[in-house]
Amino acid sequence: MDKFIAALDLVAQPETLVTLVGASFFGFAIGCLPGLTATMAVALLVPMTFFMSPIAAITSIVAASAMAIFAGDIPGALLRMPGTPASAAYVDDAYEMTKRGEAGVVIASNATFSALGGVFGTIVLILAAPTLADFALDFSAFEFFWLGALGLSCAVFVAGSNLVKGLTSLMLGLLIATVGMDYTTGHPRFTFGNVNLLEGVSFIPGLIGMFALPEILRSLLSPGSVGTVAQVTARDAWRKTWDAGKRYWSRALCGSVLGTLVGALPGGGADTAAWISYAGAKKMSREPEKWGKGHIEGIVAGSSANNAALSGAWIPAIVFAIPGDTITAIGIGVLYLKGVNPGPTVFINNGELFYAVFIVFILANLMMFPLGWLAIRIARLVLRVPRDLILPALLVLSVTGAYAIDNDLFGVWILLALGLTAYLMEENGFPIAPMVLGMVLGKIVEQNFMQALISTNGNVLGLFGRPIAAVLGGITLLVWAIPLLRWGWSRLRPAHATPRAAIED
Amino acid sequence: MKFGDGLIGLFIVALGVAVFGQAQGFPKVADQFYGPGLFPQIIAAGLVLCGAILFARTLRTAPAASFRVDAVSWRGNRRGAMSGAMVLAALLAFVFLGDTVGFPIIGFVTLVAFYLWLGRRLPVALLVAAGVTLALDLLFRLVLHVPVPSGPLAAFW
Repeated sequence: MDKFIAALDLVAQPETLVTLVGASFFGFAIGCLPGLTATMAVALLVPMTFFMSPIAAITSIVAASAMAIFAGDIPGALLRMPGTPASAAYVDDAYEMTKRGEAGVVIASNATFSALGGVFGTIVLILAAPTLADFALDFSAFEFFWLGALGLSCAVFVAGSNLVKGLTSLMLGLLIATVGMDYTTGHPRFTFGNVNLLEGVSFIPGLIGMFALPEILRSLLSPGSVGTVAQVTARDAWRKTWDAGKRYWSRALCGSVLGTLVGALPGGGADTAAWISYAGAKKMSREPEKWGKGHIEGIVAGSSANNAALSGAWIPAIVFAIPGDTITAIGIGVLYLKGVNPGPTVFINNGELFYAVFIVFILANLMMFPLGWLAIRIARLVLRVPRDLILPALLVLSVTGAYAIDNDLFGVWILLALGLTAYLMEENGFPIAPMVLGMVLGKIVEQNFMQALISTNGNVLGLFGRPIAAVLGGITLLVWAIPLLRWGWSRLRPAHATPRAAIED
Repeated sequence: MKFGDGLIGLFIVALGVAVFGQAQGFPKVADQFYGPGLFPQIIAAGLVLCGAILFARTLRTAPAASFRVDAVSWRGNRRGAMSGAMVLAALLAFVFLGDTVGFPIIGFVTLVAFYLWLGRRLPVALLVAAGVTLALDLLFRLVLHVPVPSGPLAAFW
């Protein structure tokens, strides 16, 4: 209790509070810009933390990253350009709702459920940090391979109505993920002698291209704009969000739990969490046919999960000094810089500091409400600007964003190539979401697969050799078998035409 | 551009075969069956399977449309087609001229061209384009410290 009061005292320092507000606005602005990730927001803050007290330094990182993940939803909703990869899972639903005049509802929901997920993740962080981190520490290549494979199965659920086209899209995404130096031998694959491709296809420029370019092309080809639709008022937006909360509170809870768990696992980040939560919630939804066409349920599930993952990632980071993602990796670096050593002894040596960090987490998540309110106001303005003025500006913004990730024109090449591919795919009924999923998870799955194969000397059954891996593997195979079994079943009993139609078309 | 599923299926199969062939040439790890080529080959097999199913299915359900190529959104829409071509031209200009001419100039020209083409008057086009260019340049170059190429303007910045 003494430590808690000391912690409150630390947080109440003017420096901490000013940092909290300043870093929130900063993270908000970065998250809104397509191509600039939450990681980049945090990285840009590092030089400024040199001049801060330890608590203010860590406050700035927590606040900026939480706000950037939330703010990434906003350009996704308004322009179909996810501001950060973590918002990509539900960008189609968000954009469809904006086209119906419900941009405010989307943003209010993003703010509310991001905050809920973030607070939930923080509470778990406070209560269960040591146990959860311990569990994740036991994982090896075997478990991570199955976890990634299970994540890939999500493609089936985000594939839309045409399973074969969805799987083709997934395969293309996985293929793109294999480009570059191979993990085991360093052999260059599919690089066509290009040095820029040795490191693989840069993900962020690809993401900007795949979501922004088709939208810009489509809007220019068929004038008729979002701006003409009357948007709901801020008041109605919050009211509808409240209704959505009452209706889908269990989705928010599931998303928060799942997000925290995925975030706590090294290698699992906010983006993976959002995908798994979105796909899982779709599977359990009573109205799966509405998904992808502007349904709030997926937005609730996804936005609670990605912010929960952000809090969850701090569990192994604080307790074992093992960063789960790039954001906490930078955070740990800043902690060391400030003379605070994360690790099992952290609560003995720097107890009040970490309780203060927990309080900051909760405050940072609560900041989403005023900033969300502000975002709805701004959104109404943005949507009122004529489309023909915005679209060309977006094109230039996309190019600059694609350049900014690696400070290299090759990013613009990737934007162009993947953007055109995505445009052609969508024109022909191939969903983009599975391809993005393949690009996110491809490397994780392959690296752990190869590592496991090498350590078992090529024995494929060895993948089931560890208890947790065996359970995860069993679940994965079951998930893969279900569509096949259903397909076989419908063949045997041709009277049941519906399940076959559901799978084939 | 809309292509018949038959054509797409054939393309996917061909892509899968090409990937498979290329991956065969990758080295193996310690004379085992696995190596850098294993995972791409699994993916290639998946592509061939998906492509074959697409091909077979469309032949069964809609053989007439299987090999059609149709520019639905471009044909009879010269305005739209021209806009699309301008997007491509702008992207290629950034890729090939970005380092020498610089982002601000290409961006400005792109914006003015688009605004005039989309029916804005010259003063509006110039003003908005200048504002957007300046805002983006300030944001990325000065606030975010991204070394955006400025081309000949670098001397004045």
